[in-house]
Amino acid sequence: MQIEGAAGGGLVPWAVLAGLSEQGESGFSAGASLTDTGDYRLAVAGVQWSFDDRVELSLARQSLELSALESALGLDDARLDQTVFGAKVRFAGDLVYGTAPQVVLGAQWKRQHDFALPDALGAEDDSGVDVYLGVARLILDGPFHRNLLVTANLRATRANELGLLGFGSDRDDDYSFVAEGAAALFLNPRVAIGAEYRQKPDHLDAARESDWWDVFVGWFPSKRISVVAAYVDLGEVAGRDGQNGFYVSVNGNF
Amino acid sequence: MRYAPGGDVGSVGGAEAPTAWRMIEAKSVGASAPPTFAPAAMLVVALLLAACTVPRTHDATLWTALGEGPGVARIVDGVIRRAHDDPRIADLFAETNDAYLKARLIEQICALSGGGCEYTGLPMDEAHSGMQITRAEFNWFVEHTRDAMAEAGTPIAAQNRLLALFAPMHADIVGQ
Repeated sequence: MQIEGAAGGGLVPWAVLAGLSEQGESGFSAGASLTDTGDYRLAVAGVQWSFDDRVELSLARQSLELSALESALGLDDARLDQTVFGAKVRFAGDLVYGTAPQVVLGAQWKRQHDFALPDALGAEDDSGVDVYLGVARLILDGPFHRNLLVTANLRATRANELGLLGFGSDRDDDYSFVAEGAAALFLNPRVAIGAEYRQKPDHLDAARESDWWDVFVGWFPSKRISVVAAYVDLGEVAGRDGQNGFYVSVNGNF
Repeated sequence: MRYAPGGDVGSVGGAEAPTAWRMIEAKSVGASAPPTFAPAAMLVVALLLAACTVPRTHDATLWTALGEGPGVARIVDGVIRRAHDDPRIADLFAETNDAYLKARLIEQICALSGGGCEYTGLPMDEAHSGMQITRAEFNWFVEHTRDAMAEAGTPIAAQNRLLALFAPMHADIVGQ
């Protein structure tokens, strides 16, 4: 599960479907993650439901603790919460077989719950919709005779820092088109290593934002459990530069 | 998410050679080096190769990596046993002549992996004609194949190479 609740690595939704559902089956999964850069801490809890190896629906709650800004803002508990409802549909191709890679269309409906700070920074709205087109392919017998998953999205978004800082701004209220992608090499069926990159829009003059990237290790002790640990570099977030730290997530399939 | 069959999260890893050894193996069968592979690293690999040439001089083929006849027979036995034991796909194998299937599968793997055999069975689309095999059933069978290889001690690299050789047959097997 990535930080917006969709199936993915850490920062980026992957164009694969959550859970273990095959054709004619449905699957349920849940996950939680923590991203900590020292100045900020983002906690996410989410659930996913997938059906027929075709559709994924997800619901996530994000909670960003702004510990570094508490004194500056004169607050005891500076926190920004957001709810994300996600949907992803596989409409063409296949992850593994045939000539065409898997293609998905995804959307994320986001509602920010603490709009005072985003409002003060110049954000226009407390809710918005991201739409993305994603492709994914598992390359069998890739480098080092290992299987390699590659995935990429093109996203249309008005979200500032995922939407945690609201949507749009008085300067730029249009949708931005951003690219994001990930690659994961399966060293064996239980361990994968990889990297992700996520381009970001930059609509708020008062809180410039940076592209994000991470490098990760995934561990699959069983078919039902996955654990991902990553080093993340978030660049500048809400006026603070050099936001890098760790990400960890635990996910279960039921 | 579902990684099947490549990184299938449920498969049990087989006996694994040390990483360095697997890298050497990758080199020795002519895998192209990624562009980031520095000359210094190539030298290290060459030195390691020179240091461990004894068991690997003649085994460039996948057939050898799979354990040749006895190794492949062990894998195929495992696959057929798992297929019969899996209630989701057991019906597909209820009428199967196991000895015939085993012989054809060994032959086919031998032919694909450089063992020098000729496959004498039916083409894949004819062999699965009328069975209406679904994507899910195909994926479960691939899982059993990976598990059987892991059980037989097949190295991960050889598992991946073999499954990649079978992958193009997907279209001739599913939905026939």
